[in-house]
Amino acid sequence: MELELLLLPLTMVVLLCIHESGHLGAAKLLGLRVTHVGFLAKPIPHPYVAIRWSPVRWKVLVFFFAGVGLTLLQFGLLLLTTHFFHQPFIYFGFCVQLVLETNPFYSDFTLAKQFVGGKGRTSHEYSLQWYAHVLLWLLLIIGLFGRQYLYGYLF
Amino acid sequence: MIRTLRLSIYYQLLMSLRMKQALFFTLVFPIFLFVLFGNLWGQGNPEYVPFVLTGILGMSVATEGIFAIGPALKDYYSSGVLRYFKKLPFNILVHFFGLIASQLLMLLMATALLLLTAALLFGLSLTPLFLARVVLGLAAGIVVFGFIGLSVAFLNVKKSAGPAQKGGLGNLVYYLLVFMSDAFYPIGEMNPVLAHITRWSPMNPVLNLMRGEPVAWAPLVVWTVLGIGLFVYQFRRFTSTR
Repeated sequence: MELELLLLPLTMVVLLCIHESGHLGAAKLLGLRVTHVGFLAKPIPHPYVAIRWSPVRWKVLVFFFAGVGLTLLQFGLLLLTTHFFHQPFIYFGFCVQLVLETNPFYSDFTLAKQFVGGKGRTSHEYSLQWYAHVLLWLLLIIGLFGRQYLYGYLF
Repeated sequence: MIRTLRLSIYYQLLMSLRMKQALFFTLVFPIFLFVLFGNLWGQGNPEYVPFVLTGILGMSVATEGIFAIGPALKDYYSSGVLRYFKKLPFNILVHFFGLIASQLLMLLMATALLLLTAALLFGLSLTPLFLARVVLGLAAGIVVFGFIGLSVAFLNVKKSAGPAQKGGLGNLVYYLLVFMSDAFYPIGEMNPVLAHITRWSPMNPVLNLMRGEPVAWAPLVVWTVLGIGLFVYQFRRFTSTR
């Protein structure tokens, strides 16, 4: 049981690396120039990939969502093929990672919104659109962790 | 006088409702937490829904007490706005009562929304006895947390604090109040040391009042008296030395 617990952080670390490699891969494929790859301590500690902004909006948006897209793709594949190897902690690792990657406070979604709006990070917070994001995020958490939904079905 | 008070309450309430961040953390965030926890741990466990509901109400009343009233009054004093208020053609106390009443109204709105959510989503029965217990708990909570908030806010009244400094101690007190108590989980049952600590938490008697469980009045009275005493001491020291 104690060893199985380690699967949770291990899954998250692997997913973090894959998430960032998704950004990197997208940047390379789309011809965007990568300026930095590193680790930021604020506002929350996280690795990052920075690019030189492109005037082609869709390319930058694909770059933003490539990370979460890759996580979702793996989630779907593992769900359909192996049921997360019947290991709840691998499933939890995926869920925590998905919840973090889609949060409405600081994630690729908020950065993409900032890029599209051309405003500061907090400018769209507490708008109607942001509240819709919060609601969807709440439903995602309940759907992933609730015993009566996916978790109950799998384990 | 009554008209001035009514207008003061109205405008203070309007100001609170227009602060988007305050609105989110006062009205929406407690509902978010309640729906989340209720769905994750309340399905098939009907006792958990009133437990977490009262826990979140305890958290809300602590938020109001620690962050809404104390820091605002402290800012009036430390920034010198009070001297401006004194020149206005109405009693300054009316303004303070307006501020406190508007925050109480916000708390009541948050409570009403939470109770409505509990009834609609989880089928919680809102009996008069339960509602009376909630009101009693909120009243006790706003008194004890209000004075703790005032005494904490006036502790660093002379410092011209930047935004980071400003809420530091208040945040620490708030998190200790919420997480070193039985608000979301009966942590006293986890180990004897935590049981000793939570026994003297001012949050637990407030929660027990709302939950209809036996109330330890001593911590509630001690924290209220300490809060009043420390606030009066700080206030006098500040007004006599500035």
